Amino acid sequence: MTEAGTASTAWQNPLRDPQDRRMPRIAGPCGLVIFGVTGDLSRKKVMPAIYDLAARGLLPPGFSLVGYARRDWADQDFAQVVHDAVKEHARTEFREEVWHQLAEGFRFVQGDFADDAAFEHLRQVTQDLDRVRGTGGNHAFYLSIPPRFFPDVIGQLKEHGLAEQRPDSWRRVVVEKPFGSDLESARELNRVIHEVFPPESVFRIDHYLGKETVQNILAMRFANTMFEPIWNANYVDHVQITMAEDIGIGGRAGYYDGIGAARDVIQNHLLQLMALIAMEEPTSFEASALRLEKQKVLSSVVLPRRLDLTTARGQYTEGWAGGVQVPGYLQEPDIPSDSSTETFAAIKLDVETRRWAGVPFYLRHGKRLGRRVTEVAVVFKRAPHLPFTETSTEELTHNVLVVRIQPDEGVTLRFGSKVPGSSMEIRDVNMDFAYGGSFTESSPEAYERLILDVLLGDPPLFPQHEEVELSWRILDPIVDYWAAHGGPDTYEAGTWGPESAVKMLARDGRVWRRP
Amino acid sequence: MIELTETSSSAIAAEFVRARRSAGSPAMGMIMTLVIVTDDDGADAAMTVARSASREHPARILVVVSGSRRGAPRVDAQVGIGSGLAGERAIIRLHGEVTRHAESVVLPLLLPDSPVVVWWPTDAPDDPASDPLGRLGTRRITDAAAVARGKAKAMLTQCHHYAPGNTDLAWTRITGWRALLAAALDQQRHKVTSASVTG
Repeated sequence: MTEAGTASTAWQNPLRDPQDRRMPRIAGPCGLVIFGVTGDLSRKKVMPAIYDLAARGLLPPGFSLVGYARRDWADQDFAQVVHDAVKEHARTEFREEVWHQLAEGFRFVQGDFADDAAFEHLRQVTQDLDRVRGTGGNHAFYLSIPPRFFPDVIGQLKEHGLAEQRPDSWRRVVVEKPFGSDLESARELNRVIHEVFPPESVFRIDHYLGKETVQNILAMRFANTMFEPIWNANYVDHVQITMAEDIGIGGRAGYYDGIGAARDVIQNHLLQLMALIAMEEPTSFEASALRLEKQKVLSSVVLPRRLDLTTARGQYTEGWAGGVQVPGYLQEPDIPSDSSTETFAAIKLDVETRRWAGVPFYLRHGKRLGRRVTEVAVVFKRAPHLPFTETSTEELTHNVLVVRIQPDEGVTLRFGSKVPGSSMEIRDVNMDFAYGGSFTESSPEAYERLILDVLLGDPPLFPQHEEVELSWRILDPIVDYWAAHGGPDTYEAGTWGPESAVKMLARDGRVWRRP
Repeated sequence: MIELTETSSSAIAAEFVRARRSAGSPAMGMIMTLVIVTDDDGADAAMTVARSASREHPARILVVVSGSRRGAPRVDAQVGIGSGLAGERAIIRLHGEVTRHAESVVLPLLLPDSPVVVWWPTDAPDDPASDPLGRLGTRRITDAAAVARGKAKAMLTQCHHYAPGNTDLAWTRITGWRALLAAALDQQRHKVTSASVTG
């Protein structure tokens, strides 16, 4: 699976049968090197995911994990940190025998990101692992570090021969969002990475794409017949994509200030969700076919002409959220008191295709909103003619199909029904599909799926640089417009955003759903 | 019923999801959120009424019980599903400063999209439509007949502050009588010049 493009593509493993769905996909011999291993993401998501993969038997027996950070740790100290992180955050039960097997492959390398000696040491460590653990020269480098260090690390990897692609082994690099902070910086970042790693060896993690519910959007749309005929401008009135968080910025002040809600979330997660909802049917589920359709739809997105009337942004102020008194954004530690970073962003986008002509997509994201929820709502047009009196349909609104991404994953269909009784009264009812109800197996965490895909070299769930650049092309004019037109509006913590967001939809005669 | 002490809205919401999952995600078809604003003495009676109402209109029932305003802010809750109730229920007790911000506790627990009904079984605010909790509701139910003293005055206050979406149970109670009256006039097609009500 790794030697794509060489003569071996003709070879077929006689032990694999495409009809055999029972046999799991297990990564071949390999190792993972994590830069910035002491960070939050690494401890809360990556390490537990690796343990969960090991516990499910999806990692090779000789799997090795190398931590790279500035701390002065021995291999045992590192193992202890992983141990604690796994115990606290792993999804599967902690089992000693799994842990021992995994912990034997732990190594730690101390150093700066520009430290020649440390990278030389890293090279020796990986070579040792190839010899002792049989990782076979297959290593993935996970850059869980701020993007400004990328040039250093990537340069060092190249210089010390760590990035060298050999025909019989692979080297891959994994990067996390943000993929730049605008089109120009994204291009620069891509240039730096692609100088050393070819595009197919670069895995950009957008953890939303690893979520079962997001992948289910494709299954729902393309495996069923009942949705596709109405999935167009003839029936759809508009689409609302909401990702709301009830927490504030927490300890991310240094990263968040100056970036803001639009760049942090809309550019990646929300535009990817939108692409999956709006794209045409791919010819297959191959990475290249999926990517092609996503790129097509992203490149047909146009911004409305009047950005002042079709976008809204806000910043939370002190208030009570969920029964707890919380500080405003400007009172958060390490935030300058005159910061104009937005913590809420709402935008309207049009897709210029025959399917979606005249159907606006409303995207919103914010921190300290009413509750934590991510949902895509496809809102249908009202029936063109209602043979009922106005009073009998007073409580009937638009039909809606809601994809609940998190929490309480599932799909809701909302439509009108007659209220039992002697009079004709019609009101909205729900038809619910809950993952917890139909599939009792707990879904793997997004990171498990994504890390496994990196080790297998399976790219469909990772956006490539074209998609990233297209997303920035959509967002850049909005962010530039905001930067040139004063500060954000304010909204009280624990509410559903600023008044301007409500007005933005009211202009189109619509309202935001209460998700 | 699960007891949550010193909790928050997100913990209560998570408990709803957990309780539903562990019951095998039964079809609930909840069509509204019913918020009951009451005190300790009225909570049980209100719950009994809500339980029978839930059989006709399955709902998420949130009973908000405000305790003393003094002391540290604190939210306690009992969360449960089933047991003679169609839908979900949480009894939320507030103490200290948070009693003044009850709407912040309730807002994250409203069901998506569907209507919200706020009901004050006994003492309602003078202007329900501008009350912070009342503002969350699409329907606000008061009961002038249930106030301890000055029922007529309470009725007039409610009339004075009427806003679309307000309902007083005093009006609902006389529906049968109104129907009789209207039926009487169906027979006698005369112009009404005056009326007097005795009782």
